[in-house]
Amino acid sequence: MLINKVQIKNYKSLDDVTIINPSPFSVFFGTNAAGKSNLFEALELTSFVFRKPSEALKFFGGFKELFTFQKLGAEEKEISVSVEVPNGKMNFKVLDENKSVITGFADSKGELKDLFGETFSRIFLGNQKINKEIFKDDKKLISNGSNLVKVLSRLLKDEVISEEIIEWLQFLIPELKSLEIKQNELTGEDYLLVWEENSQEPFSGNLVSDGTTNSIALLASLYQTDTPQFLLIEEPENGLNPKVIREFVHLCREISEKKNHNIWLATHSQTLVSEIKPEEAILIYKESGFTKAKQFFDLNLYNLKMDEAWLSNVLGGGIPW
Amino acid sequence: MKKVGFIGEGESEVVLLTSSSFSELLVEYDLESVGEIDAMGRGNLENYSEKLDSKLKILVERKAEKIFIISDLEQEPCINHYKQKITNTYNSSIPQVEIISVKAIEAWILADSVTMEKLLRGRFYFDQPESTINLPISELQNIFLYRTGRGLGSSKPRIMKKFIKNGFNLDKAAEHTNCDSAKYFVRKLKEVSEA
Repeated sequence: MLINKVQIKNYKSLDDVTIINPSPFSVFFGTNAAGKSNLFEALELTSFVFRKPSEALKFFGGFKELFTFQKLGAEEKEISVSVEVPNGKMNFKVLDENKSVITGFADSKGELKDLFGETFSRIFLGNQKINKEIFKDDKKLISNGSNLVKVLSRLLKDEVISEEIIEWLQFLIPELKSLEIKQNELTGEDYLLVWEENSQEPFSGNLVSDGTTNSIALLASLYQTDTPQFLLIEEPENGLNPKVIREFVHLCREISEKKNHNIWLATHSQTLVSEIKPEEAILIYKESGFTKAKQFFDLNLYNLKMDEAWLSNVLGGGIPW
Repeated sequence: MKKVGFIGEGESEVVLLTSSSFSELLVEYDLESVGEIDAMGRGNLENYSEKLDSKLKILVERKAEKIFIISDLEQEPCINHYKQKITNTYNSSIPQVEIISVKAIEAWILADSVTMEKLLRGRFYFDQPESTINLPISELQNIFLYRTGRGLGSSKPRIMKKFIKNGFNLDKAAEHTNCDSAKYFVRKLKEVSEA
């Protein structure tokens, strides 16, 4: 699922950011407060506008909270996003009066629907502030992962997916044997049990480590649909061992290719960045208070790894001070 | 505008090289930086020598006419011997390399009497900034502890940033009578500009 171009104007710190021909598996990295989350949030807004244009704004706090504050004095104030795919294009504006207006739309092959329709997900595990989805059903993981059991319950009923998820977990987490979803007889709610080797009894969800829970949630997000999905994951490294982070990068790349997913990660992790190729790297940095994005299609690193290039400032804009 | 590239031994050097005041100095000399790369030496040549060749090649590819490596001599007694040690670590077919050896970059801060006086709120002159008994960072920390009752903390890049924010720059250090490495660096920048 290819994206030709994304351009975001006047959304928080992104006064004018363009991303051209991003790899379906892309990794956004940079210093704290560079604007990675703002960029992902603008894409989430795009999905809300795509799905419910008249209501989208109210989930994001309204125009005043979203418009680039350095430009509040400007005469014409509007946030705009445009997305180009091989066979379609979508432009929309968010206006001062708390309205969003789609100004151009063509999607002859349903590519925009695949990107920004129901399968769009923005995940930031453990972050309670960012969830904007109302429905916590079993179709997809919501931002903070709080409907993990529901999604997992559905996925584990599929024999092939269940086997793949369990195999990955057995590989990533020593001692883990299997997962089981049970139903509470009193409340009717599902809950997660984790079986470990050398243990006669399973552990219930609240006794499982954060790292294990996050690994399960990340796998659930990657396997939650077989149809092409646009999956944004922020700080997937949280709670994960460096070796698990490395394997997670390879899995994202593999699934992205196999299932035609767009999987974009935002990270601070040196380990994660060390595993990516130049064409998958998008550096996010600030210049004069505004977020900028830099891509690296033809970069020869002369045997440096991407994390070395990032932290030694070969890429520019990468050092925090 | 001629293109130059920089490799600093550590984060403090890169903080200086990426500062807006250093960029202004380059503009004054009609030079454009194509990169300010951290050698990630952590105070030791052996730490960065392995990757130095790659970083130099990246700057060559960006068409730098001159590449400055700013490296700390620390306790090394002979500049020429030290420069040769650095040269031996990379592919010698990169002729545009110029090594700037300074005892430690904090010596340039000691040499900038104007910024030191501003932060110490009193008279200051350090006669031999490049011939300190202790490392320049220790001298700097001791001076602040003694004169203000407050140290500067242990983070070298934070210290560098604090001084830059208060006016420190390479050309200020180069004005000091006994700060030869800063003078040499400025002279070499001018030479590229005028070549």
